[in-house]
Amino acid sequence: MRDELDVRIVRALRAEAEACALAVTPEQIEGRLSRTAGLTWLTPAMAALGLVALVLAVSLGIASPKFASAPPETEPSVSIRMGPDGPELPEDAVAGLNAYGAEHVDEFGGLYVDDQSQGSFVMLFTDHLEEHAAALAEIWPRVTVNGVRFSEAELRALQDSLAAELFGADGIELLSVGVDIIGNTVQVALKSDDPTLEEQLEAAHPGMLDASVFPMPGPWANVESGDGWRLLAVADERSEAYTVRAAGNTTEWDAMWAAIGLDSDQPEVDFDAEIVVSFGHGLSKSCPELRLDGVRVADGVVYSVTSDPIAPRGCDADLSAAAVFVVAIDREALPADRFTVQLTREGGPGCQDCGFTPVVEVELH
Amino acid sequence: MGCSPRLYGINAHRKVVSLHLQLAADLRARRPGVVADLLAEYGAAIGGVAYLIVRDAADAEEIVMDTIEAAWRQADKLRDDAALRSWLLRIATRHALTRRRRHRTTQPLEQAVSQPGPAWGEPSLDRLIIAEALSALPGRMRAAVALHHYAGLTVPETAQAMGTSENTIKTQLRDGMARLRLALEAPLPAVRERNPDARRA
Repeated sequence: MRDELDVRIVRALRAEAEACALAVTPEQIEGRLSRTAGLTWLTPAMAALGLVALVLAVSLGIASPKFASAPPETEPSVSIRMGPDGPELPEDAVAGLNAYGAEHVDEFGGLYVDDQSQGSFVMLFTDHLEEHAAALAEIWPRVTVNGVRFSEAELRALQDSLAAELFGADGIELLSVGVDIIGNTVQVALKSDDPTLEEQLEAAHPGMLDASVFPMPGPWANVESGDGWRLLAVADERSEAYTVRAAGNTTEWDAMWAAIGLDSDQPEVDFDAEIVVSFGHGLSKSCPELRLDGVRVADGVVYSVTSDPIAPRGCDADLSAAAVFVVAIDREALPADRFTVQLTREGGPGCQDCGFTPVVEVELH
Repeated sequence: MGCSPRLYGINAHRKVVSLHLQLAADLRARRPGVVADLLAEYGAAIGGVAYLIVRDAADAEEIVMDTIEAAWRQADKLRDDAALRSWLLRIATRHALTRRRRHRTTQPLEQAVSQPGPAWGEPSLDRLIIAEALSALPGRMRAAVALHHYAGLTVPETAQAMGTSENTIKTQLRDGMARLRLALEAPLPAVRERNPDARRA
C-alpha cells in the first residue's frame, strides 16, 4: 500500500514538474553573460587558445560567446523611458555606457539611473574619475561620475564567496546576500546564534560588507491569558481564514465549535461572565507558524495581536492554512452594549467579493 | 505567471557519463554553444526542481537562467566532471531557496490570493493533490523531496546539494513523504458553504 502510494507520489511529482514547461532559450542566458561587465570568463585555457580578444569583445557587448567565430554582433537594443512622460534614452547610450564599464572592470563600481534628475545616469568608479567623466561625456552627456571604494567586480566576487561559504553552513540559515550598487556594499542577512558573527563578518571585509545577523528561532508558545481574557483553543481549519466569530450563549458556542472543526472536548464557558470570540488568521504555506500575543479591547473594538515567532523570514502569498485562536473574554472587560470584533487593530484583510470581511458587530443583551 | 509553451524537450533522467564528461569539459573551456547544450541536456531537470521548490513558473525560469549563468562563471569549481548534473542541481537548489525567501518578503498577501492559478491542462487528481500538499511543505523539505524523488539524486547527493547532513535529509524525506501520503489517502473535503450571517453572534 505504501509502495503504491509512493509510486503515485513520484508520478504526480513528475507530472507536476513537467506539466509546467519553461520557456528559456540559450540566447536569453547568453544575453545575460554578454551584458555583464567584467572579464570573469577569462580563464588560462582561453588565454592559451588566444581567445582574449574574443572575451574582450564579448564583455564589450559586441560578440556573443555562442558564435565565437561569427561576425561581431551588437548589444541587444535597450530603451529606457524616464517615467511615463519623461525622455527616452537612446539605445546606443545604454549599450555604450555598459560597454565602457566593462572595459574598465577593475575600477567600475556600477551604474544606476538617477531618479532625481530625468535622463541622467550615475556611474561609479574607484579611481581616475576625471578621465572617466570626460570619456563618458562623449557617449552620453548626462552622466554623473562618483567615486566609490570598491569595484562592482569585487563586490560580486564577495557576494559569490559568501553565498558559497554560508549556504548550508552549520548553525547558519542564510536569508539573503546581494550587492547594493548605490551603497557600494555587499549585504548579507542570516540567522545564527553566534552573537559575534555579525562583527566577525564585517571585520573580515571592512567597509565592504553590511551584515545583519538575527537569532535562530527558539521554542515558542501562544500567550494563554491576559487582562480579561483566556485562550480556550487553537484550530487550523482553513475555511476559517480571515474570519472572526462571536458567541454569547451556549447555542452560539456550540455552532462556533462545530464550524471551527475542533475534535477535542469543548471548554466550559460561563456565559453570564464571558463571551467567546474566534480570530481566524490566514497563513501562507511557507510560514505556517503564528503566535497569539494578546487580545485587546480599545475604543469599542476587540482584536487579536499576533506575531511571527520565526521572524525575520519572508512569507509567500499562497493561503494554505489558518490559525484560529478561540478566546473567552470577560464581559466586564467589554463595552456595556455593543462592540466590534476584528482580526487585528487595523481590521485585517477581507474578501468583499466573497461576501465576508473579518469583522463582526456584536450586541450584548 | 502560468506555464509557457514548451520550447525544448529532453529526457531529464538520461544519464550518459561520457556526455557529462564532454559537457563538463566544454563548460570549463567555455566552448561556443555549451550554454545551449547545457540547457538542452539539463534545463528540464533544473526547471523541474526549481518549479517544485518555488512553485512559480516565472521564478523557475529565472532560476534556470541563474543556474546556467552561475555554472558558466564558476565552471572551474566543478571538481567531478561526472557529477555535473548534481552540481547544477545544487546550484539551482541554492538559487531556488534563496529566491524563495526574497520572493516571500516582497509579495503582498492580497495580491497572490487574487491571482489566477496556472493554466493547467488536464491534471490528474493525484497531481492536484500532490501539488497542493507539496506547496504546504516547508521549503527545505520540499527541496529534499524534489531532488530525491523527482530529480533522482541519491540521499548523499541530495544532502550535498542542500548543504546539510544525510540524516537531516532522511528526516526531511521521511516526514515529507509521510505528509504527501497522508494527502493522497485523505478523503476529499466537502465544499463548505460560506454564510456571512452564520458568523454573527
